[in-house]
Amino acid sequence: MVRLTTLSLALAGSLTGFAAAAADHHEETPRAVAEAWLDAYSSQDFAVMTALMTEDTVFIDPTSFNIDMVTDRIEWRGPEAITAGVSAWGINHGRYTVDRSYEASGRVIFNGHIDVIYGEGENAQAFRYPITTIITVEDGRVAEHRDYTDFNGASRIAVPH
Amino acid sequence: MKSHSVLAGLTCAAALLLVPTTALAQGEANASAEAVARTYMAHYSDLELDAMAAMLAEDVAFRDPTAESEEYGFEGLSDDGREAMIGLLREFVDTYQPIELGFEWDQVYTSNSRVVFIGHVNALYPTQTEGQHFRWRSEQVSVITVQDGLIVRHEDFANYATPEQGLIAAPTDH
Repeated sequence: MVRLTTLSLALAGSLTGFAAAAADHHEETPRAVAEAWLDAYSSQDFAVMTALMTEDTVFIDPTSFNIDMVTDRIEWRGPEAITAGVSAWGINHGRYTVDRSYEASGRVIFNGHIDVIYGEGENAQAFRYPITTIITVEDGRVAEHRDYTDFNGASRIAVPH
Repeated sequence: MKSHSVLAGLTCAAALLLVPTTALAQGEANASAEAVARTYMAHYSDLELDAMAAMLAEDVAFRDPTAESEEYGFEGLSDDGREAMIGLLREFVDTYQPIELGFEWDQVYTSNSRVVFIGHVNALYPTQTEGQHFRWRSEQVSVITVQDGLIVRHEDFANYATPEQGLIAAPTDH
């Protein structure tokens, strides 16, 4: 089992601005970009996410379609729509635990679960979703974030500290 | 919380508590979809193409974005329609004569009639030496979308980059 570390810090934290971060991503491997993206997504760091996107980046979860009681349809294009859509979930932060990962042809596949934490302190609540995520990287940017979430297998868990 | 109130977060969390209710409502459809998909993937594993064809919608979409090549380009394998998909698989079988794809699934889950298979492909091919097979094994995720009892979308994501491959002793049951 591999837990993603804060790779985004290596990409963004040591740089002076997001433009510099974006420029450097062209030199990164698909895996480095995908892990930085997933880390930024987990920590809800929309600035780093934006720096890793293009205007045509797609964020999609086909398992979210037609379950309106749980979530709106997750299918957005472009940084503005994607950050607006993700931020609307009101997540405090997430923790993506990867059980397996491999890559081929610019696609980095992650499988594991994501713990999603809402609220803070005593009001915090946490839920665990089994999930498979496929990140497509093209020219050093995230072209597509594709999730297949086990919404039926979601469970409430103790809030991690 | 970065940009949202605790209330907003709790509202969202409350909505998520509805998951079990929705699961009940979707449970029957998902169970049916998973049964169809498991049968279909068993046929795929054994390369029973006629049986697969009988379970495909006429306009099925067959995708493998991880199968990038000069022929397919960056988007990878993309075929639309039952005839085209089965034709492609038949060409693969005729060319390479695989014994089986031998899928081994470690995890299967279903949501919104998308059945997600996570595990390995463990393809076996004959060789000219008796008692010996060539094995091509890699991680694989397959996502099968079922609608009205038929497969409408089949997506594969395989680790073509770093498979395990080589000659092995033929299993005694082959």
